[in-house]
Amino acid sequence: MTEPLSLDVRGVEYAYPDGHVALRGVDLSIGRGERVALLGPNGAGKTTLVLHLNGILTAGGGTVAVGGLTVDRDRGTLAEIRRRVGIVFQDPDDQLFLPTVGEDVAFGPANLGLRGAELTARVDEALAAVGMSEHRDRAPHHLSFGQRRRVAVATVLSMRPEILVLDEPSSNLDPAARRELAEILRSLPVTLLMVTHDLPYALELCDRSVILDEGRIVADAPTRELLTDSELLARHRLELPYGFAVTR
Amino acid sequence: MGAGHAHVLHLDRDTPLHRLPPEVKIAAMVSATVVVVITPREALWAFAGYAVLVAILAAIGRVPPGWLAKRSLVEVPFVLLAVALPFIAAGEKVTFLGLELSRDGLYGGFNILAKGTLGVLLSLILAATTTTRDLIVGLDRLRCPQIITQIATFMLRYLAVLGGEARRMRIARISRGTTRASCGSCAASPPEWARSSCARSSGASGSTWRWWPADTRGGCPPPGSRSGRPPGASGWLPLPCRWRQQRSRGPR
Repeated sequence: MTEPLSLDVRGVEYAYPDGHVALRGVDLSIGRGERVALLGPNGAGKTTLVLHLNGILTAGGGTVAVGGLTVDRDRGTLAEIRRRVGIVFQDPDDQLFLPTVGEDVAFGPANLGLRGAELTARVDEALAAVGMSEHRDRAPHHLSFGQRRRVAVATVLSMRPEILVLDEPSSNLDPAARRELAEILRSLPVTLLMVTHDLPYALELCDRSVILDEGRIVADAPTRELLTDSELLARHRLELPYGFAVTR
Repeated sequence: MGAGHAHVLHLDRDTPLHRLPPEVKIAAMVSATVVVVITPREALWAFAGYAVLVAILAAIGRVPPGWLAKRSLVEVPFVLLAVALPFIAAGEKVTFLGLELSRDGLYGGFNILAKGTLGVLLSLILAATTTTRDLIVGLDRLRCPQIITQIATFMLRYLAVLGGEARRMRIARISRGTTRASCGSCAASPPEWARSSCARSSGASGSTWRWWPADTRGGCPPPGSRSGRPPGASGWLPLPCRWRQQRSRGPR
């Protein structure tokens, strides 16, 4: 029996209540342990797609399956889907709302029903994975932005997700924090989907990239191959930073 | 995270009501409200006529009845008061379905219900057919005091900022397994809102700092409005410098 895909998105369509069509039949499959970058210009539908992965938005058409489990409106299924899909949002301040780092990291597993020593072990494990164990009792708003982003990663790692989805993980990070986060992400034994405009970061972390534009996947190839196709990048309003060139 | 594509109250349509200048709609809405309020409560035929007019307006603006009904729920506390009045008011009693009801209370309840409902529906139709920005422009064109339009502009801005923040935090919480019924949700809400308010008050101050230089006197500068002039050099100074500068100039 073949192992189910970490993520299997088929023909997903979505229109906002005002009629704006954000997704027009998205197909995307990600195998277990893969690291994939989701690239695309502003307004391409990247965030809308991400919100379909854990059932925050319900597709107007098509299906989303995570580790073989199809997203639907059933409460039990949704709870399991949200455990399997760990979304790290762009602004860590949206994700950190409890008085201490430890409580924030415990929030997800506590919602899954974990208590006592098991919960403590989960928190320790997640904080250790992002190198933030010593900040467990600090208030999130006293941390630097890079530290807050690492804690935000820990808040979803503590739920032991099947797939980690990061929305613009490198935004607003200084070079050192960016490198530290890259090292952490590379060390995590999870499937990774990284939504980003930061093409060098995609190249650094993801072997494969897909480009989403106008609600459709328009390219799916090894990251290096995509980034050397300057015409393709230009067509979809993607650009490498000044002075940066990728060779095959 | 994207902001989505839905406005809270405005319905994006192309209808004669949407195209009407905002100042005309605001003036008409205020006048209609005044007329409704001063209508004697015994003039039932007049209220029926107003209801027909509101229905026609909603049809012209293509505002669905269900949309209006859902948002009219804001009126529920007043409806409860209106329903209670015939039972609790004093004065002459009438018998209806075996119930002893106050005549004054019946009229009073109807008065609250009819006038409140018409006011809410008119406001909703105005909101559905006019963007918030156009409302400010309309107020400005009606020579509303600038301090009012300025406060309204910032209030709308802050509401949008706070609403966006609350929405993103809610999504982040749901993504980590919170359901409305779960204790986690209740436990997280007060500090979340406290944190959000603190964070956003500083964010809002940031907006104030960024917006202030756009117009020395703080008015919104919509195209064609009386305050739509380019700022002078002093307009680009940071606020404390300008405050000192204005103090040194004295009142104008």
